[in-house]
Parts: sequence; C-alpha cells; structure tokens
Amino acid sequence: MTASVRFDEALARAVEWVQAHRCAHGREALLLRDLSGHLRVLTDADGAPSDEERAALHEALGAFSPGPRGLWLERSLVGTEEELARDRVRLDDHLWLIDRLVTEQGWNRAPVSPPATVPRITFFGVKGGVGRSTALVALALHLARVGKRVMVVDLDLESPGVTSQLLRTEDLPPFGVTDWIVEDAVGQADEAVLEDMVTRSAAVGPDDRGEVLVVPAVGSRSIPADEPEDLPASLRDGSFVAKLGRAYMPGAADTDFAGRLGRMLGALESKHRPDVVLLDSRAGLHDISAATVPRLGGTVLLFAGPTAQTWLAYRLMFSTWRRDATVLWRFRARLRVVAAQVPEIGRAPYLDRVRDEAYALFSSFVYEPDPAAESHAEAAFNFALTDPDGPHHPLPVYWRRELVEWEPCTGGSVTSEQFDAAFGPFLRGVMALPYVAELTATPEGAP
Amino acid sequence: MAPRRIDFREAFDRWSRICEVERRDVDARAAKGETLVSREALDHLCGLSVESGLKYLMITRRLVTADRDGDFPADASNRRPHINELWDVFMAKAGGREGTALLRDLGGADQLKVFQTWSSQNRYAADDTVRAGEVRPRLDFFKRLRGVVAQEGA
Repeated sequence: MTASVRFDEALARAVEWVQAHRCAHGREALLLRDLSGHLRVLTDADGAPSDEERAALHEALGAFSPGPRGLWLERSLVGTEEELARDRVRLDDHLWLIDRLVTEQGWNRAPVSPPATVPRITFFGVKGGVGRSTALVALALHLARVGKRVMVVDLDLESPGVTSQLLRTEDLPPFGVTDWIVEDAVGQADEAVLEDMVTRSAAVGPDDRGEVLVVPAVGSRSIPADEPEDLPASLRDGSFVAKLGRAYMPGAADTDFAGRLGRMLGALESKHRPDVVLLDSRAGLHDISAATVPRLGGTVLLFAGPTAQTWLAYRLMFSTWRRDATVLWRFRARLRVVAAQVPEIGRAPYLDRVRDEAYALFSSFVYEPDPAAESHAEAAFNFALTDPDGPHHPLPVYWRRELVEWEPCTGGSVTSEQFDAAFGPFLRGVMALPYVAELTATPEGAP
Repeated sequence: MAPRRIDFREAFDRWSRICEVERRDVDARAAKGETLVSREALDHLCGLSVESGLKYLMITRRLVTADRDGDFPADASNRRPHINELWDVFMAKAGGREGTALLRDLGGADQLKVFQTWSSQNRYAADDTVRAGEVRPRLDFFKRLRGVVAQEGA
C-alpha cells in the first residue's frame, strides 16, 4: 500500500517540483495553500504547464492536490501583485508561499499601528496562569502612584482576569471590548460606546496622583443579574458568549482582526488621552496575540517560567518569523522576557534557567549570529548571555503567597513592603526599558 | 449611451429564476421515477446561474474587487473565469474567518469537484454529452448558493 502524503510532505514535494521546474514557469514562484490544505502553483499567463506536468505534480501531492485542473492558477486571477505580496512567506530564493488560514493569525503581516505616540505595553505569555495579569495590575498601580493616567485594556476575551482585579463587578461600565466589537461589526462603535466602555478603578488610592482607567473585556450589560435591571434576565443570560462568538468576524472597514483592534485602541486613546496603555493579551498562539505581539506597536513583555513546555511553545511562535527576518526586525527591540512566579527558594538557579532558555530562543530566532554581517547598515542585533540589557535577560516577578488572592479593587491585603518585594525589580526594569522610558518621560522625570 | 455596469446580483436573479423552475421540475420528475431530460441545457443554465451568484458573493464579500465595468477581474490575457475555474479561484482567495464562514455556507471544500468538469462548450453539445450524475450535484450546489445569496439582502 502506498503511504499517504501528509501535510508537511506535500509542501516539501511542491517546493521540490517548483525548484526543478522554476525556469519553465516564471521569474518568481508562488505556491498557495488554501483553507483545506490543497496546494496550487500560481503562474504567469505564459506559465501554463503541460498535461504531463499536471499529472506528475497531482500524483506527488496526493490528497493535498486540488486535482490536475486546479493545480495551476494564473496569478492575476488570484490577486494583484500587492495583494499577493502581503501575506506571502519566503521558502527559498524566489520561492514564496501564501498560506490561507481559518484564523486571523497574521503573524507576518505589517503592523496596523506605528509605534504609538501613547506608549503601549503588552503583557503576553505563551502559557497561561503565570501571573501575567497580576504583574500588569502592579505596573498600572505603580504608574498611577507616580502621576500617570494609565489605561488598562483587557484583551483576554475568553478568560477576562485583569478586569476583576481592578474593578468590582458592580463598578463595571455598561460596555466592554466585546461590545465594541459587535457594535463595530454593524458600523456603530460610536462615541457613546467609547465613553461607556471605560471606568476608573477604585484600586487607586486617594493619595495617588494618577489614575487607572479600565476597559474591561465584558461590560455590565452582559453580566447575569438576578434582579431585573434595564434588560430582563432572559436577554442577559448568554449574551457574553453571543458577543464573544462573533468577536473574530472581520468588520466592514478592515480586512482583519488586528486592524479592528488597532482602530479600537486608536479611538480609545484619542478620546481618553492616557499617558500609557497596558494591554493584557490572551495567552497562547491566538488571533489576539497575533495582533498584540507583532502588530499593535509598543513594548511586549514575554512571560515565562523555566519549563520545557513554555519554551517549546515560544519556539513554535518565533519560528513563524524565521522565514522572513524583516518581520521580526520591526519589533525585536521592543521585546523583553519576564521570569514569572520566581519561587521564594532557589531564586538564582530559577532565573538562570529562564535566562538560558530565553537566550537559546533569541539566539535561534532573533539575534543575528554574526555581528560583522553586512546584510544591513545597522549594527548587528546581538547580546551576550549575561548582558542585562539583552531582551532575553529576564525581569523577575517574585512569587508570594499574599499575591495569590490579591484583589486590589476590594482593598487588598498586600502591604507596600510585600508589593515591593514581589514587583520592585520588575517595575524598575520595565520603566528603564528604552522605549518605555522615552515615551513615559515627563518634565518631572520618569518614575 | 454608455453600457451599464455589470450587476452580478441582477444576473443571478435572472438566471436563477429560470434555473429554479427547472430544478423543481427535475425534482418532481425524479419523484415520479422519470429520467432527467435536456441535461445539457439544464447543466448550462445551472452553470450560468452559479457563475453569476458566486461572482456576486466574491465581490460582495470583498474576495475580489470588480473592475470599473463592474465585471469580475480578468487575468493577464483578458480572460475571465467561468464556473469550472471559478471555484479554484474562490478557494485560492478565501481565508480568515469570514472566508471560512462563506465556504461552510457553500458546503465546504468538497464542492471543488462539482463544477471542475463543467464546460462552456457544452452549450451546443449533443444529447447525452453530460451525465445525469454530473448535473444533480450541480443543481444541489445551486440550491445552496441561492440560499446564501438570498441572505445578502436585496
């Protein structure tokens, strides 16, 4: 029995075929893998293959051939040259792949926001449950204490967390991010929505000079209520899931999810004028992180522990950029690793393990191996293992028992000493990051 | 007088009205155990209907941008795809959740096979050129497409 051609083998066979026939079929070869995984060769008008060639490639691709007739498409039928260049990834010299995905994970697409005039800091972990949201809350409160107007946007839509640390349920504004998305889908994410999706956190003390504005994932109108309010319970129940289930539908004005998020953030920043925006990104390789990490601008904090599962997941994520290094160049200087939940015992070896794993990751995918490389005019992007300024060098967040149940919006039970012991080095490290320090600097000096 | 822009929705409505009458007739005859007749004409009618409807959906859902005449964009040789190629073009362009939703509504990637053997040359074909087993799934796809187009509004 002939062995089936599997997903990865099909692409390898298509590449092999194109490499062998590239002279006959045009200057620059484009492969296209459609939603179901079928592979096609996009050719110029005069690049049509013979019947024998069709039959040969059809057989080589097995179940991943769309059939001999559909194996070749003229590229001008599929899109303009600009459209074809947008989503392609490089496989080889003059050989590119356009990969159609079901999800909106445009990891290789261009940023939808330039590095913002309002600094944005994204909190991201490739694995959940590492204290990412808690660290974000700590930074938000710290910035408010030194006089900053901070906006926290909860983009962990499937598992809202940062919101409940900063707002009591009864203090939620009527709308949240999911409401903006469903209203935007019908063209009415208007000023009223932008106004009613933001509220101040009571976690900020009266002596603090700044404030924390919270944009929750879920608004009060989606919260189940026993008592009749403005909407009957029968209409409230399940409404959050009904909104969330539509969250990733492209809107009328944009072609993808990242574009919509970028537009929402821009509108919120224009209306509420924060000094700094903190984004709590959903964990894992998801549409949201595909927007927040490479495409929304700002500093990206990568939360991690020393476990193998974390670093395998990061390697899978970073490998999407290895095919086209220029994508990573856009934001590599804004990455920084955070060592999450550093235990009370054995701190030094824990941090060393995180640093070593991070260095291995960055050496494989981010750092340029040869400082003398002449591939571009800038100095090579490279840091030594022990260089404290290297983006792989972890900023530590120390685990403490008191933080496990910390809910600052209800008064909290963490003393300033405990807070400093857990977050002090992390906060000082974040504030010293070049991009953050530059954009949060004030005439009075950065905190 | 300048020619009107092509309106694929209008074209689909026109062709599909006739095709739907024929499709119902086919169903009624099949229920009585009668043999499908005039298959070549019916097949051609079905292809024109689906071609118009799919081009309308691809333009409406922004998978392609119509040219200045409202027509489906031509390739470098000024050739526009008929339905036998159009599904491949659709599959090559569809991506993301919106494209996936449309693909699901249209019956999934297996529809690829339904029209690949359709030929515009068959409009003059002799009887028994097109097999009944080819026409039936095309009519089924037409029925499904009609429902999707109807949800796009007027």
